[in-house]
Amino acid sequence: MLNTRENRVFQTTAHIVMMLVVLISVLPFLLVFMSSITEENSLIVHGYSLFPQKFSLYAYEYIAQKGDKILRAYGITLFITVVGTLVNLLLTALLAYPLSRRDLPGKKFFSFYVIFTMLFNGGLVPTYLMYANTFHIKNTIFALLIPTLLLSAMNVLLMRTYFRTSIPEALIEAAEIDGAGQFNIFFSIIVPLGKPILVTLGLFAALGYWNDWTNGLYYLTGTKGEDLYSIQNFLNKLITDIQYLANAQFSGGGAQAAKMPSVSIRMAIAFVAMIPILVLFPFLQKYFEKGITLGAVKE
Amino acid sequence: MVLSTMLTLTALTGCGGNKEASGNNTGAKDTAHKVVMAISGEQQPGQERVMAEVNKILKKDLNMELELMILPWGSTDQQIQLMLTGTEPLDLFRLGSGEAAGYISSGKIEDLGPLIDKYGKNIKEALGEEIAKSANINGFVYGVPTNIERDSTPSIEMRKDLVEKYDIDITQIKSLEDLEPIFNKVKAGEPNMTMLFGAGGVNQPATRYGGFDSLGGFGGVLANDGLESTKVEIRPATEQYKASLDIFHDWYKKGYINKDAPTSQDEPSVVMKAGNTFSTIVGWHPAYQNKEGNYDVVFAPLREHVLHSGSSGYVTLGIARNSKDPDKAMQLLDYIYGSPEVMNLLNWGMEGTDYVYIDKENNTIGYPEGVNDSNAEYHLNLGWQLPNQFIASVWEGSQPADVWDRMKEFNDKAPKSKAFGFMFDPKGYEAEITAISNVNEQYSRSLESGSVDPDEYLPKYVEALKKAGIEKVIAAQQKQLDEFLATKQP
Repeated sequence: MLNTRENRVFQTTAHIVMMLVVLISVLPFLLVFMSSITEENSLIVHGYSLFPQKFSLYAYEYIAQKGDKILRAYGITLFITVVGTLVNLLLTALLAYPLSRRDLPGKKFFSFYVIFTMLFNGGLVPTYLMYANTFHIKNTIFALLIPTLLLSAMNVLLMRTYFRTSIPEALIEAAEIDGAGQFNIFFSIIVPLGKPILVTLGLFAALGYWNDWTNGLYYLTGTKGEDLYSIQNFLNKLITDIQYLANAQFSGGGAQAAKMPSVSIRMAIAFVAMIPILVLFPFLQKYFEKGITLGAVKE
Repeated sequence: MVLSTMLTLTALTGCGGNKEASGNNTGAKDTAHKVVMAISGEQQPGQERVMAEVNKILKKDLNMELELMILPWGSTDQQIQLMLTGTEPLDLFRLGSGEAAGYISSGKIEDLGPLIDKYGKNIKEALGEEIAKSANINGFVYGVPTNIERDSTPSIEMRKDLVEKYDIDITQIKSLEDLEPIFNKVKAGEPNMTMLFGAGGVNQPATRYGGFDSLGGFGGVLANDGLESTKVEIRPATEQYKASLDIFHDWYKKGYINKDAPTSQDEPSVVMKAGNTFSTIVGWHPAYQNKEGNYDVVFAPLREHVLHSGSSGYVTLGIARNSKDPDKAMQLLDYIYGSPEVMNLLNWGMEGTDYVYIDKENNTIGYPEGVNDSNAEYHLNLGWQLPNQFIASVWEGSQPADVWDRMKEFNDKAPKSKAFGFMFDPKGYEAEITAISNVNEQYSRSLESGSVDPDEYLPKYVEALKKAGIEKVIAAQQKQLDEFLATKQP
């Protein structure tokens, strides 16, 4: 690049701005981690700090020893993330591929059918009634897998565009001439060539499943429901419960609140819940960038 | 990858196993009518075993079954609302005066008046004729009050060890002003401590100090606990409010009240545990725990205990429209009001496993050997949400054995606000009420924690309330209250 004055000014400001953005995203994260290893009383007396006065690993010991509920929730989250992501990708690809073919009969109708769901939906209450009373997914593992997260019209369109623009039609024709059936074409040509978009959307789906707590809030109730809580539901319950009890007008609220896990434990759970996504991200990043830019143009 | 597949498999088998187990439960003989009751709390590992025992009794006496649904504190309201929109089985659930008006106008709950008359023998006996149907709006009885304290005494709660160390005579504390020299003395010896703790929306010093009949909290209030005048007023415009805020602001400036009071979300008991807090203002009643955090505490009343307008309607059990048979739900509810066995089972679990009698004569109980707070399988300890804790056993150590006798006296002897029994019907004023509560949200924490100057902020607060339409609400409250008073007087 040109080493002009203008360019240098631009580079310097850009770097400063980017560094600030990095700080804004990293600091809260660090703060959560530091509070999780701060001694509880010091946390209450001095508040959150990046440089705590007293360290303690009590919170992590607590999770390791008494955290059978936490571990269970963790297992549920892993399960729905893995199964949910796989099913999500399969369904998305199976719908996106035919839509990407120019010779699909009734293509206009199917495309419209997909796009329509992006613009209109039933709203919370009818959706809830449908799932709870017609499909009876309440208090089952399906409650965490199916609503909202299983198939997204947006992803279908991204994938369709990718298939159409990045996989030459001639390739498919050649395969047809060689006698390959539709399923054969899909699994031996489309899926391997569509790896970047599959990984990208897979990551989206995985993040969606990993971070979701609304499904659990709506569809899991009572003892049976709480046994199926994912780690995010668990965290959300902890935090809303503590807030509720701290503002409770009734007697005994204080005694109940005192039984709740302390601040450092809550922070530790939050941190533990973040780890897998943190670990996964660097490995998938190269596909991620490619997939996003390639799928960027929609027709 | 191998790891994740393994975890997947274990999770998968784990879930599969569960589903089978629950399938078996629901498939069992269903001859008895099942009533579903929802309350808030923590899941109890021993719930199934305890409910089986409860149902043995209920089946024998009523040919009914009870399913207890324990919902998380924070999302109970949301989940109940979702359940009420559908046709899901829900009979009894906890509701308070705050939610009741909305449920009535949307037709989500039953009017319990006729049902109480028909089946409420035990209810009337436990609560008294007047209280039994007192939770009503314009005659629509939305719930049966649980047997708990009716309002409380604003009191100062102090750490016992420090009270002793600084030789404080708590019998001399009669009002807010008496606390000043005490704080002064303790602060001199413990300069780093918080003298008076405030936090959140309800644990602010001035909020807990109270002194008003809030008429349900919709807007206007009666000054001086409603003992003298029946004129509905704007709280921040009253002399009484300003006088107490002046004191708290002075204390905040002197460093007696924690600096982060207006923003803190901590619970007093959690903060007490850290050992940095001397006192906090609480609503005391005979069942109040005498331990906060890890410290023994003592109390001194700051005001009189007065029964306010809605004092019996805060915690009630209502019957949902979803109920297949409201008559049976009421029969079952009434049965529990009169059954110490069922109350003990619901609140404390099974005798022998979850509790043992410590003193049969005084009806006090405690944990059996080897069982404690952290490994108990069933220890609900939520008597205030269950119909009638007054007939159940008393947990050793947490409360005196005669706590419920004291509570009855506490409730019966308290003077009553002139508006006692009145319940405002907010229909038609919802928009104003929302606007008012937004304004309250904005001003009350900073003012009631003492962190801002009342001289400057009170006029602004009043102005904002007037803009939000409080005068309209107050006029309506005054009109309804006057009508109520007219029917009350012979």
